[in-house]
Amino acid sequence: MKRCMLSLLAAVLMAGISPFAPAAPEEDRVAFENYFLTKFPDTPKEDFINGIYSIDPVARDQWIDLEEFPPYELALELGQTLFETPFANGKTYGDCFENGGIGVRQNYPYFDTELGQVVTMELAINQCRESNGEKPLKYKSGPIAAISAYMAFTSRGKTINVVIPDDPRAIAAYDEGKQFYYTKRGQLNFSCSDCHIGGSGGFIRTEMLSPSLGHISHWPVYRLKWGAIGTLHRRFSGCNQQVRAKAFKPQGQEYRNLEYFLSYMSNGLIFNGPGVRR
Amino acid sequence: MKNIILMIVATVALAVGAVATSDQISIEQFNTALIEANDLRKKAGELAHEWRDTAKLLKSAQAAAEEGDLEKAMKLVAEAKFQSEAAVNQAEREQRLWEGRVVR
Repeated sequence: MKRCMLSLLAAVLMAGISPFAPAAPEEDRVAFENYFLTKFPDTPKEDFINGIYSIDPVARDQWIDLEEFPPYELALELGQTLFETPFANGKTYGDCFENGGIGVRQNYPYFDTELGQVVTMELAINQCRESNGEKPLKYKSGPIAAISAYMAFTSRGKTINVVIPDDPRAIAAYDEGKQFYYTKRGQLNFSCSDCHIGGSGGFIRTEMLSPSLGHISHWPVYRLKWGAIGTLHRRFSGCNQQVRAKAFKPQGQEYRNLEYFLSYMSNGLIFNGPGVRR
Repeated sequence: MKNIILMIVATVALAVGAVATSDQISIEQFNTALIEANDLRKKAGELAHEWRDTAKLLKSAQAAAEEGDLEKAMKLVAEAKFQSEAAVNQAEREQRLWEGRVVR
């Protein structure tokens, strides 16, 4: 029987067919969620939006203290000021977004069927600037992180609900994000999933590795290590460099598709950005 | 990019030639190895698998060659070439293996 199975597997591989049938996104999401609910049975599902603090009680206590006077407050104030300051043409960011840009974080990322690509919050902010004759902002930190933080803050409590339209390009974007997440890269030969699925709850040096469920809910984040607020794609870039892979461009297709996949995996949880992390 | 590499190769050849005129083969070897390693680095990049430090190694190799230290330059190029080959292998391997890690 074993020989029979091996022969079948060999035949499948020789025919160039993957032995793993591609799963539908919702099937992926349910399996993803169940993995973490099983691995961390003491963590309520809704608490995974708090990342590492959902599984590390010591770090959680420190975080609760930090949140009394959160270090992202200055960035929030700056973000609000920038958000409300008119462009040279007299329009504001509010003119580009539904509901004046207040409480709309849950609409991102989405697949734009006209552009044929994933649009994230930060990409939409720069699209807004450019459509109003302004120069785009740099994507990792600074003003764009502040504006995005303010927009996230106005959306706290909204449900993550990424929809994948019935468009082969959207499915491809999701699949590419999924492949990126599970692919090993860099000199250290690590995938995102190595650390944040299999390794979640384990340690790298003194740092406990966070679970991926809810990973995208609290961005942008003020990281004590950065001493500033930064975007999700800055973190992606940092992760890639930590495994000694060449990082991709923030808001390039690779990271936008990764964000699309990861956001879909957290569907049903709520946005609670901005956050603070070590 | 190819033009830049050719210019660097020419510069290195002139610089090294000034200090080691009797060692032309080594200079040619370095130039050939440099181009080969850089092409492999680009191939890894096209496969979205370039490693973080490969380009830095090549820059360091160029700097060492410009200073006339061809032995060090060749070691650095060899390391960059090894990294790029490993990155290309990693890309090809991962095309087959990534799906096996998907949570089901």
